[in-house]
Amino acid sequence: MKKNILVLLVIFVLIISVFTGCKQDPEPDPVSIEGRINQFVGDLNTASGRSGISKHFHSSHPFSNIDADVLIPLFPTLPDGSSYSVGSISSGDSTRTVVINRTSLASIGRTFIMLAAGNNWYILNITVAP
Amino acid sequence: MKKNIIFILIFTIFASTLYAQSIARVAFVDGWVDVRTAAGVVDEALIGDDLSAGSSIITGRDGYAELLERPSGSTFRVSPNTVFAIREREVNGRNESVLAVAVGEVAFKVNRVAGSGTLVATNSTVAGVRGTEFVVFSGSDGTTLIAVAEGLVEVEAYGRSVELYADEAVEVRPGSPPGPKIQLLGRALDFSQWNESRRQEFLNDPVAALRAVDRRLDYYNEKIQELQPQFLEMTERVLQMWAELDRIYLEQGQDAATQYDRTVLGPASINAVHIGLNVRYYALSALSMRRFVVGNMYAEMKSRYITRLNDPVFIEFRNLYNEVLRKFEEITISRINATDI
Repeated sequence: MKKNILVLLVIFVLIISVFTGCKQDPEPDPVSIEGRINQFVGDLNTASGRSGISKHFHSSHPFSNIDADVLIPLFPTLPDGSSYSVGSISSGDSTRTVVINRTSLASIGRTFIMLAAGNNWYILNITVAP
Repeated sequence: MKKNIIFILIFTIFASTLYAQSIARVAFVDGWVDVRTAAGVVDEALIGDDLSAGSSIITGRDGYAELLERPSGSTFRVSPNTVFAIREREVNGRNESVLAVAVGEVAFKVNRVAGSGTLVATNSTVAGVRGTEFVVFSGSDGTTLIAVAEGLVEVEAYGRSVELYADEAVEVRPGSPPGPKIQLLGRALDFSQWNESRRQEFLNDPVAALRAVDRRLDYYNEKIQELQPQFLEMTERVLQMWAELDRIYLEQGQDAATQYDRTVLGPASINAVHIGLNVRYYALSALSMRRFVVGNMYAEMKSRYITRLNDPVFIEFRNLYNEVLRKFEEITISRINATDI
């Protein structure tokens, strides 16, 4: 009986390892301009998102060296109950004017200059919306 | 019998898991070639070995290896005296492989379709590759030489990028942007000679070489000390402006707040971030210099003077080395974080 349980356990581990070990999707979905901006704004709301915020920036611009401390003047951490969200995104080639909402606080407008690297879009620069 | 079945099942689990995580496979080896796994185990490289993220190929003086990347079919030819690592970094929540030439020479033939977006890193630069044949040489002093045979390689370091086409090369010194393009005009570069010249320059006068690096680090440190207080002061002012923005919003509405943001808060916040980014730039430049140049110099000196640690040259070098580290820890370390290391 014990041996049967052991065999079942081994089969279970085998199944789990096959599903977790294999790369289910070897070709990651490309990140669009809008996808990148939404991910960036979403990451402003968590400490872990802020600590890895530089991943959203294109490596050819100094913004790719940004860290949580340097981000503070541009997007300060918000009080409890408030968070950043994307209000609207303009259309265009590689530049987007974005209204960023802050729950119960003033919204702000920022222009995101984007640049593609392979299939993914990254933020090259952020400026004040005109 | 059942024990045998259990053993076979366990073996199958390990085999299937290892295969699934493999990024490249050893296609050919000649001479002394080792594989260092992510767990730190070093073993002789054999044809058919799978390399997962975190693995390194280490070739000896007579070692040579060819790797086949999967599933792209790109090939990497690893020359003697080379350390070639396969790393991963998280991009957008997914892992992306980065091919790192820590030291030595690797020739890349990247599959034109599947290789788009390939990243090749060295001590002093990152190269983005879009279907190409090129050679990366990483010198013992941290300098990088990249030569393109076919296609396009974009070499980027410290805010400046250079696009290299066929028969073009560029040298990148640690902590510096790429140098001017070198037109090869069909002639092959002798990488051994190039690296030896860099090494000899250091060995002829190690104290002078370290002093030159120290001067460069002093420049970074001065910049950090100059800009960091400005950044903190500016951040404090901008945070007060954010409070003012929300006061205007509550008292006068969104339109008035938008006007204040456009004319006062927005420009000030961007300005503060740029100062902060400059601090980071200098701190990361110092980190690169300390890790890949100063560390390498010390290791070289320690091995050469291991039996004569009281030699005046080594003592002078070590004193200067300790001073470099002291300044690094005092000024730079607070501006870098765990992710940078």
